[in-house]
Amino acid sequence: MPYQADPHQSEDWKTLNAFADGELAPAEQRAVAERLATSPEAAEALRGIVRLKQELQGLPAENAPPLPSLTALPRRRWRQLAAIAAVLVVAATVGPALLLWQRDDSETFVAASLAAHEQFASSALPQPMATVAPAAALPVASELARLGLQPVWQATSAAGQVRIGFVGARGCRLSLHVSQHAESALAANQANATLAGWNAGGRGYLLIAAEMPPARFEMIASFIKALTSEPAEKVEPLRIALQSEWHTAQPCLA
Amino acid sequence: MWRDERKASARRARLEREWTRLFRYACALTRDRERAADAAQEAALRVLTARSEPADDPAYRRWLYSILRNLLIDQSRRQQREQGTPAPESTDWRFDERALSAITVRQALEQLPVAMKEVVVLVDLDGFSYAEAAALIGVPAGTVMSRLSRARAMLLSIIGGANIRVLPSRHAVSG
Repeated sequence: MPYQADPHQSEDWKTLNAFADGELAPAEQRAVAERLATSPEAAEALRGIVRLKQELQGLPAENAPPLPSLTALPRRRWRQLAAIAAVLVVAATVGPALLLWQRDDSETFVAASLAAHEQFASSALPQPMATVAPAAALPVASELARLGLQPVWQATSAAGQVRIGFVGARGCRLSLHVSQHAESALAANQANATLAGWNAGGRGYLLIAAEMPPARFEMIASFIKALTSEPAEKVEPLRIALQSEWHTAQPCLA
Repeated sequence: MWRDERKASARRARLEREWTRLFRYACALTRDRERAADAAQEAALRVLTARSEPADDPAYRRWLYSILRNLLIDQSRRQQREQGTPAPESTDWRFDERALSAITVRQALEQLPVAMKEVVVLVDLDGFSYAEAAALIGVPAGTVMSRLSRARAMLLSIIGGANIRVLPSRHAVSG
């Protein structure tokens, strides 16, 4: 039976929405979390709200007009021209090298991560690992373990990029790649059905799962992104929505 | 002075970072891209020529949005335009995530009354808290909470399904 959000229960619906936004006081948040644990209808409604929020946040940006320009005062013009000339000289000298360096460095992280995932996904399934070595990856790994995604593979590159491969109870393989610094190639906060990348806390993150149903992948990606960048009250609704989603999980597409 | 020019340049760069979101907010309030572009550009000129601006980033964003919003309210009052549109008839709803696609969501968003669309844009798209959105709009935080929950119910209703009833909204953009 679907969750009712008609006028007779509008307070419930409002509260659930505020919970999804991390806007409730701690005591209220606990009460809603307890209710969600025993009410599949409420949990389904929360999942709907979370999915709607994700869809809204994923809408492409509007094509904005250019910013208006202010007309410069004539007496300042020579200074502006001199400044522009100086910038052009520096840009012409240093710019291409900088751009090349940035693009290479960041794209290398993405390309290396994709190649590593491909190798992980096509290899024989290793035994689950007892522990995950990098301390920075522990919170994410332990959260995923609670959902039944066990770490089975791990690698650290010379540049300090950490890669962890997980496998779910239904055979889904998912890999998380962490760079020790923000990656410009991830600045646009890319996400699609199989890959999500973002920067948070001075690190770059890339999550890959080629065969997972898209809706579940999006939910996991949103959850891990929140885990790495949001306060606890914003994470909890996503955790509960994801747990609810897990009960209806489909086998992987591979 | 050179220092003034650098300051102006930094100001412009700061506004540039918020520009796309500011324009989206203008679109949400006007439902008219041309009018939104005019208003956003006028707001940008006010921002770029203001004597000072908030140093703190969250305060800066609230300041930007309030300049744009006040500008549109002034325009609306002058032109005596009707800003609100009647809420669509409530329909039954059942959550079906397969129906949630970007196109469907965008189309649904366009059907919301302005006051509801505004809180969705502020909270869901631009990351404002209820308190920040409330201060910007000039309503209590509880009103933001109500509008947002009704807006989401309406969005899900428009997207298609069963069992959520949405009360019609009488709110439009108001000072």
